[in-house]
Amino acid sequence: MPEPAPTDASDAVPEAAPGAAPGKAPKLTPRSIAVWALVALVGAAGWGVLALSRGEEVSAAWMLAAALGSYAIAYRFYSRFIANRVLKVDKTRATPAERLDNGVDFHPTDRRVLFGHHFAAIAGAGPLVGPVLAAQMGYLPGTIWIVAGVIFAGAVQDMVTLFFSTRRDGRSLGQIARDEIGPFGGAAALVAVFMIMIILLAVLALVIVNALAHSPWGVFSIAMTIPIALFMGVYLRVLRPGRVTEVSVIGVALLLLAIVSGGWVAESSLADTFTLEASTLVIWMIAYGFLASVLPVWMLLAPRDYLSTFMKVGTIVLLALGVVIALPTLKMDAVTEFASRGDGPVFAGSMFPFVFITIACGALSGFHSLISSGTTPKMVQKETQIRMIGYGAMLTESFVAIMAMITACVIDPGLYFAVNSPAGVIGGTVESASQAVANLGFTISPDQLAQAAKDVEETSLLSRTGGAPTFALGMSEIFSSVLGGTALKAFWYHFAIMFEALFILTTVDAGTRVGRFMLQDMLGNVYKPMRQVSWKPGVWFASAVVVGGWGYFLWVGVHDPLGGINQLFPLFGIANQLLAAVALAVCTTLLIKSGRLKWAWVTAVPLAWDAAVTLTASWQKIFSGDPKVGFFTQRDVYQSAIDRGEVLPPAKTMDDMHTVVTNSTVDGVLSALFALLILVVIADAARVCVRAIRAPESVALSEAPYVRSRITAPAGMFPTPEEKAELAAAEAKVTAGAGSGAS
Amino acid sequence: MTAPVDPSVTASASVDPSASVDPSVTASASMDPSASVTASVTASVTARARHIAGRIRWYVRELTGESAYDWYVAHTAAHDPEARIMTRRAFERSRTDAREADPREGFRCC
Repeated sequence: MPEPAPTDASDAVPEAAPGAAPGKAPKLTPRSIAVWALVALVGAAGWGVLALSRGEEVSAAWMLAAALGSYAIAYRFYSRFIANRVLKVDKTRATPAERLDNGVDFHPTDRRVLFGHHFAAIAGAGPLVGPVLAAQMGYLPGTIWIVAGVIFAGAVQDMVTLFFSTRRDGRSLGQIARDEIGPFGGAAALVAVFMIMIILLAVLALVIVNALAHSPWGVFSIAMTIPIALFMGVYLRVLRPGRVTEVSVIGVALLLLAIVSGGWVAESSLADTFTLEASTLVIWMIAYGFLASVLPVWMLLAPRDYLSTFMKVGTIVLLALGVVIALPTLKMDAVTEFASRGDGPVFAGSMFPFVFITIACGALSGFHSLISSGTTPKMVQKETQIRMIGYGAMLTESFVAIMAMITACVIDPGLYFAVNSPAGVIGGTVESASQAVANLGFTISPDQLAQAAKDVEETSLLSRTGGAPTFALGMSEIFSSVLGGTALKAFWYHFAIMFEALFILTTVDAGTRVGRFMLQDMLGNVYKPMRQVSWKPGVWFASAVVVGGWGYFLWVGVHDPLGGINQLFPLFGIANQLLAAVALAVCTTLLIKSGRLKWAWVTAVPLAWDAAVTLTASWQKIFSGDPKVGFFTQRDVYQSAIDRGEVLPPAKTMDDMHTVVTNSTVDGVLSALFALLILVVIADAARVCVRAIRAPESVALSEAPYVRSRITAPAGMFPTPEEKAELAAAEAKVTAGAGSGAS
Repeated sequence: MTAPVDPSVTASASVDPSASVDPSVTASASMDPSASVTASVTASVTARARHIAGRIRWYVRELTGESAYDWYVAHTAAHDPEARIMTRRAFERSRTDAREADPREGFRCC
């Protein structure tokens, strides 16, 4: 058996971390200057048309040009600057995947495969829901935030967190926060993560419940995914272990069958069995969440995971192709009145800060920092690839968000508002909806509303809030114009609903398990047996607590007369941006502590922006005098009405009134708690930074030791000529070494 | 099952089967010169298509983790030749059991 590759004498003596930046300035040939100038021009033209067109309908092509041009420039120049000058990624330094390679979880993975893994891990329902809701303000504010936010904040956070976690052998964000900032900061980070998880799961579950209520086709198709997943699970566990590709192909085929058969069920006598109220669906969701999380992973979660990954990647590619082929026109205004007035029906609040809160994934999402400090750092092959994986994957997710924005804006604005406004605003009939939409400033006739519902074979599209039905409508418009015409609109609509529901349900399951794990960990400090993952009573108890947590908010969201998404989504956005602030604060602290003070602005500026946005939003949610925005004002208004014996619309009964009071109080307290946590973490981080600046000698970094890397691999997607030469040289060396009889 | 990649090649590039035989060389000799040209073009096109399909298959296997067992076998063979290598079934079970123990490993974001 041939020995592993020749050992260098040099790796017995680890060199002092040279921080050697081999990234010599890239040669700017006239050709590359011309190419990039062209890209910049295309992007600028796109922005110009988007920003300056008034009244005429703009083609989605301009939005694509603006976004893609900006991404290309940012990736080529800004991410390279960060990787080479700020972080000083070192291609001679062995990553933990190489040093600690155990063939299972620490394992140097090809950069293209890891890009796929990382992208599949970060891209979920977030980039699809946020932009759709933010379209309330017109396509321009959301698009600007999606593109500018990802370039300067989101992708930077992902990349820097991935880098620092890789230098620390894949330690998680919470651990790094504890090590570098202090126990306070670390504890705040952990509490924030747990609370965000609960709200995230509630909001995602609410999105699905709203999409499936009174929709027999949807309920049937999604119910069918459970037996399909169980079958796949047994197949992988018992019949043919590890043959993921073939079982996924079977699964996807069965899935498509489930979508098509949903249509047959909806027209048959079984339709009534599957037509469920939102409250019934809540009970089913809670039951599913609990059972799925206590069943073994191989039975339901793992196969669902494969299914949803395939569907996700496949559908995104299809959507991109569809948009590029169809090039639909954007029907929504560039900026609507709600941006300045702040009294929009989808979510209340003015453009600043609420557009930046509503769009998280796709621009800046704290949750990604958990993924970037999760399994990915343990698999990075070379530090130089962190640019492609960290920055690049986030740019791709941002592109998904742009496509979601496009789908929301290609449907009739009147239809958009009819679908996304809560029942309290538009009522329950197409006539009242048409009237209410006219009051909002858009026109759609009752017949058009009824026809839109009939086109996708739903009984009603009114008040299907949460973003998923709107996305499905847009997607069905785009796809049916490319392939199949109006006859297939219903199929595409339900295909899109299925696609979102699939990975939302997987996230609900996975998220409950993670929340349960964290809870068991925390409780394990108090009561030892809780920590054992195999102790069934502990598992069941912790699962019940977590499911009870998000189940409460889900129940509340469904019954809230003011609209669950309207109330809960801003809370979710604030919580997510809070976690982003934690991640950016940790990154800034690490940059300063590692002697990169003059580059600390790279994360400190997005941190300042994020803190300003989140704290302003929290302030408004707590203290605003407008009852539509401020939770406590809302509470007071309704409480005094209760004291007077009055029922205020949109509440219909006194019970509704009490519900509103309870919900507003809880939401207000949560907002205050989030704001407090973010202040604690920033203050603690600032303390550490100031100390590091004043006394740089006192700083002790906890990076893994420098070990010379023996792997040669390209940094980007395609190897450059220099890299090809290096690869060839390395291969020649190895074949020469093996040929000279090293065994 | 594809053969595991030789682990002794750790010094070299990402171990993917990128080096393929130049397809145009496999053109079969035929009597009629123009037929031999079309034959070689078809041969090179199908060889190219097969090459691309092979790359896609490699990528999908890596992405879904189907090749995890091959990597494990290669790693164990290289670093600890005496150790007993688990069967595929046992290996896959141990993987899901590990995931059960720490759900954060496979977490999917929002």
